[in-house]
Amino acid sequence: MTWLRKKEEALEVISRVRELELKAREIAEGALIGLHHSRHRGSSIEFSEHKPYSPGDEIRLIDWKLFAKSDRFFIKQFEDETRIQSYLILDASGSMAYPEEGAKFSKFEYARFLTAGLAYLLLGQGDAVGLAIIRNGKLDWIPCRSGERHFMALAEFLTRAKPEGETRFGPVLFDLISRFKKKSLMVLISDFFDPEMEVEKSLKLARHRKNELAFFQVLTREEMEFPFSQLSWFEGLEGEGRILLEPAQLRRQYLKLIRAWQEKLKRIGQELLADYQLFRIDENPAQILSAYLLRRAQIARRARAR
Amino acid sequence: MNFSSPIFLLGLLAMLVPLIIHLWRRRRAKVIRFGAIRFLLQSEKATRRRRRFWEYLLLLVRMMAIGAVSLALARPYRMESVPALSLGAGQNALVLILDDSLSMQRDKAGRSLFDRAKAGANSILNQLSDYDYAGLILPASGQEIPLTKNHEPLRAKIEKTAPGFEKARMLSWIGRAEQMISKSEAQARKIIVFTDLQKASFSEEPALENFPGEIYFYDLSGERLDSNYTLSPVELNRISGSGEESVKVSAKVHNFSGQTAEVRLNLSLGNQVLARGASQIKSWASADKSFLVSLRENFSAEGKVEIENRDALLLDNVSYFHLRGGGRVKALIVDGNWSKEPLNRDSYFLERALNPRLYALSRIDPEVVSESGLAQTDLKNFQVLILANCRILDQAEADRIRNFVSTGGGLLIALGNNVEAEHYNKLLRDLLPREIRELKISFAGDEAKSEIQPLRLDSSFIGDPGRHPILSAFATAQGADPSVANFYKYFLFYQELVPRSRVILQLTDGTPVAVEKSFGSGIVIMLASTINQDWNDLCIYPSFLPIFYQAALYLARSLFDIGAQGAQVGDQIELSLPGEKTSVLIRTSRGAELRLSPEKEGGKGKIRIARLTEPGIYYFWYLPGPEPRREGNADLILAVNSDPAESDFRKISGKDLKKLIPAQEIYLQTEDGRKGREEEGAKTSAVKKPYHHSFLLLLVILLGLEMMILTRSGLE
Repeated sequence: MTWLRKKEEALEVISRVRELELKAREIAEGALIGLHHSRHRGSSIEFSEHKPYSPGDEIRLIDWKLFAKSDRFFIKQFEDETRIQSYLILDASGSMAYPEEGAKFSKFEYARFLTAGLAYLLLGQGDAVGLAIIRNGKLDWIPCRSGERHFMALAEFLTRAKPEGETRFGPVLFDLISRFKKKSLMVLISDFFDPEMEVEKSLKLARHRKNELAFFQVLTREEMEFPFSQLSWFEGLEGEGRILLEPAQLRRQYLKLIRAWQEKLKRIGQELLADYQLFRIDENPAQILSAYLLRRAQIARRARAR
Repeated sequence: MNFSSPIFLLGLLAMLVPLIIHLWRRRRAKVIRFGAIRFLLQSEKATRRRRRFWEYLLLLVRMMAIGAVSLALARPYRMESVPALSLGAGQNALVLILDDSLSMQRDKAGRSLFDRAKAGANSILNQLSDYDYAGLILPASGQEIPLTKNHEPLRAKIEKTAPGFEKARMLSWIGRAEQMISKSEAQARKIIVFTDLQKASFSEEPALENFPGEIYFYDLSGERLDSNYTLSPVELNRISGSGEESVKVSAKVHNFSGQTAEVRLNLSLGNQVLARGASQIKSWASADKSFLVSLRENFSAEGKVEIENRDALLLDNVSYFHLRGGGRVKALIVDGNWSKEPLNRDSYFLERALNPRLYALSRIDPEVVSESGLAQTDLKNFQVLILANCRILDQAEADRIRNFVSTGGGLLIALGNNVEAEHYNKLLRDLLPREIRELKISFAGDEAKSEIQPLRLDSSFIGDPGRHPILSAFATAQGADPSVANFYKYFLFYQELVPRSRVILQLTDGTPVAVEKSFGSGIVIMLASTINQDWNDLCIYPSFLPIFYQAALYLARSLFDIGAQGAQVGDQIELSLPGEKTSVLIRTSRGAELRLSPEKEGGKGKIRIARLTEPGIYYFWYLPGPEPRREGNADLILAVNSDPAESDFRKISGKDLKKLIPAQEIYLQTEDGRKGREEEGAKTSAVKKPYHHSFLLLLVILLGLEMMILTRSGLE
C-alpha cells in the first residue's frame, strides 16, 4: 500500500502547497495595501541598455537625448527591472520550531508563510526568486528563476522543510553567496539565535559583493516578553540541555539580553546597509511587510532625491 | 530560656516546611521547551550568585518566621531581675526568715548560701526606717526575735548565726512568722524568706492559714543543681563465722545529682583508714556498700564512713558510728547446790540461758563451780560472778567477792534455801542493794490456813524500755511476757533506800525481786528468789533467757552489742537516769564535755537534752553525784548523723510553693548573679517575665523582610 500512502502524502503536499499559495497571496496582497501605486515603479539600480520604443511603453522612459541624436525613440532599460535576483534564505534550525504547542503555529510556520508571501510578491513583480533553506548547518536551495509558475516549486519546497538542528548560518551562507553570479537581494528570515554570530562575517562578504541585504527576525511573544512564572525546567530545542529556573528571577536579565541582541542585529544591519525587520508571530505578517515596504520605498525615494 | 507551653516547641519542626516545599516544587517543575534558551543560560550565569543569595536568604527568613511563630506560641519567659521588696511609705512590719539548715552551708561561687542570706537580710534591714518593725526567725535552730523597732539585736543575731546540721521545718516557721506579724498594726506586712527552697524543708507540714500579706522567697541556690553525695547512718551487723567474729558495716550511699557517679568511700576506725571502696550509683539513686571489720575482744572505737568525692556540701559526707567489740563475756557461776548431775544443780537453767550452745550463738561463756571450787578459781579471768544459792563460807570469800566487784566486776546474787539472811547481811553488807529481812511464802489471805498463792511480776516494769537496760528486749519482743511467772517464795528486803541502788523488777504487790546497786566500779544485782524452779517458775518461761542473758552482759558492761545507738541531728533526747544517779556527763567525740542534772519530774530522774545539734559520737555517763567521771565504758553512746534528706538539694517548684502557702502575694525571687555584688544581690529579684511579644515582633519583621526579598529578587 505504499503507493497509496505516497499518493496521500502527495495529495497532502499538494493541499498544503495550495494553502501556502493562498496564504502567500493573502500576505502579498495585504502587504501591497496602502502602498501608493504610482510609487511602485521598481528601483533603478543601474542603467543596462536601450530598447526601441514600442507602443505601450512609458513615455517618461524615452531617452530624449538619444532621440535628438538619432531621431528615433529608445526606451532606457535598467538592470533591476530586467533582472533582480532575490534569494529568500530561511532558517530551519531547531529553535525555529518554537513554540511547539499551545500556539497557532511555530516561528518556522510563520516564517514559511512570510517567505511564501514574499516570494509571491517578488515573482509578481517579475523578479527572479531563489530559495535557500538552512537546516542543521546544511543548505537546500532552489536557484533563482522568475515567472509565476516558479512559485509552485518554491511552495512545495517550503512545505517539505522541517526545522531541526543548530542555527549555523555562517559557512552555508558563505557557500551560497559564492554561487551568486549577479548581485542579489538576500532576505534572511530567521530568529537569529546564532551563538557565534558567524552570520556577520558571511554577510559582510555578501555586502562586499554588492549584494543587497534584509534581515527579517521572527520571534514569539514568549521570547520577547518572557511571561513565565512557575519554577520550570527550560530545555533548548537545539540540544543545549535543560536548566531549572525561577523565571521571575531571570526575566529582567533575559529581556536585557534579548533586546541587546536585537540591537546588535540592527547595528549590523546599519553597518551593512541592510534592512532589519522584526516579525512577531502573533502579529499579521502582511501588515508588517506592508509597513516595511512603505518604509523602504520612502528611503529609496529619499536616496533618489539626493 | 524557659517556656510556659513547651509543647509548641514541636512547631520548630515546621521550620523544615519551606525546605520541603522548595524540594517539592523542584520535583514538580514542568519542562518548557524554549527557543531562546541561550539567553536564558546567559542570564542564569550572570545572575547566579545574586539569585542564590536571595534564595537562601528567603529560605532562611521563612524558616525563621515559622520558628518565631512556634517560639511565640511556646510562650517563653525569663526570670528577670526587678527591684525587689517595695517597702511602703507607711509603717512596715517584716519578719525575716533565714534558712539555717545544713544545706545552706554549701558554697556558691566561693561564698556559702547562708552568707548570701545574711547579706540579703542585712541589706533589707538597711532599707528599713526606725519606725518599721522587724522580726527574725532561724527555723533550723528554732530561734526567733519578735517584732521590734530596734533592729540592732537582729543584726547582731544575724552576724553571730552560723548554719548548723539540722533541717529547717520551713512551713511551720512561716506559720509562726504569720502569727508574729498578724499582731502588728503596720500597714505593710511582709515575710521575707531567704532559703535554698530545698524540698525537704517544705515537706510534712500542716497547711497554713491564708496570710493577708506578702511573702517573698529569695532563692539563693541559683539555677544549677549542685551534685551532692551523702550517706545514711551505717548499719552494723555481727557476722559470726566459724573463726573470728566480724562486723559488717553497711553504708547506704545516695547520689543526689543528675548523673551517674562513681562514689569513692573509705572506712576508718579511730584515726586509721581500714578500707576503701567505690560504688557506681545512678542519678537520684542510692546503693549499699558494705565493709567487713574483724572484731577484736573488748574493743571500742569511733568509726566513720566517709565519701572521698568532692561535692557541693562536704559536711554531709561522713557517717559516724561507734563500734564496741563486746567480745566474749566470761561468767563464773558458783552453785550452792553443786552436783555432778547438771539437772540437779541450781544453775542448770541459768547456764543454758547464758549459752544455749548448739541452739544459738552466745557471747557468754559460763563456767559452773561449786562453792568450794570458788576458792581455787582466779576471779580475774571473769567479768561476771553469779552466786546461785551460796552459803558464803567465810569473811575471806566475802572479801574476794567485794574486791572483784569494786574493781569493776559484775555480781549477780540469787538467793535460795542455802541463804541465811543474817549471815549475808553481815558478810556482804555494803555489797547488797538491800538488806535481806526474811523469807516470805506467798499466801492468799490468812497465812496459816490458805493455800500458797503465787504472786506475779509487775508488768508495768516490763513494758517501759527506759526502765532498765536489762528489760529493753521486752519493749519490742512479743509473746515473751515475764509477768506470767509465778513467785511462791522469796526473801523480803528492808525498805530503806540504799544509795546508788534501784529496783529492777518487783511483784504485783510492790515487793522488789531484783535490785541493783553500783559498788565501786562494779554492779551488783540481787534476786530475791531462786534462779531455778524451786521458789518460782520464771525459768520455764521464754522470758527467762533474755532477762538473765541481758543481765550478764549488763553486769559485764557489754550490753550494747556492737554499736552505739543511732540518732539524727535535731533529735530530742530524753534520758532516764537510774535511781541513784543524779547527773549525766556528756562528752562529744571532739572532746567537749557537759554535765547535766535531771529535772525533777514526779520523782523520776529524767534528763532532756533539747537537741543534738552536731553529728558525731556522744558519750553519756550516768553519775551518782558531782564526783568525777570514772574511767571505763560509757553508759550510753549515741552515733549522731545528719538527715540524708537534707543533702538532697532538689527544689520545691514555685507552683507547689503557692499550693502550700496560701497568701495574698507570693514572690519567688532569685539572687542576681550578673551584678556579682552580693551586697546588692538580694535587692534585686527575679520575676517570670514573658517575652513572646519579641518573637511576634520578630515575625512581623521577618514577614516584612520576606516581602522585600520577594519584590527585590523576583522570587516566589
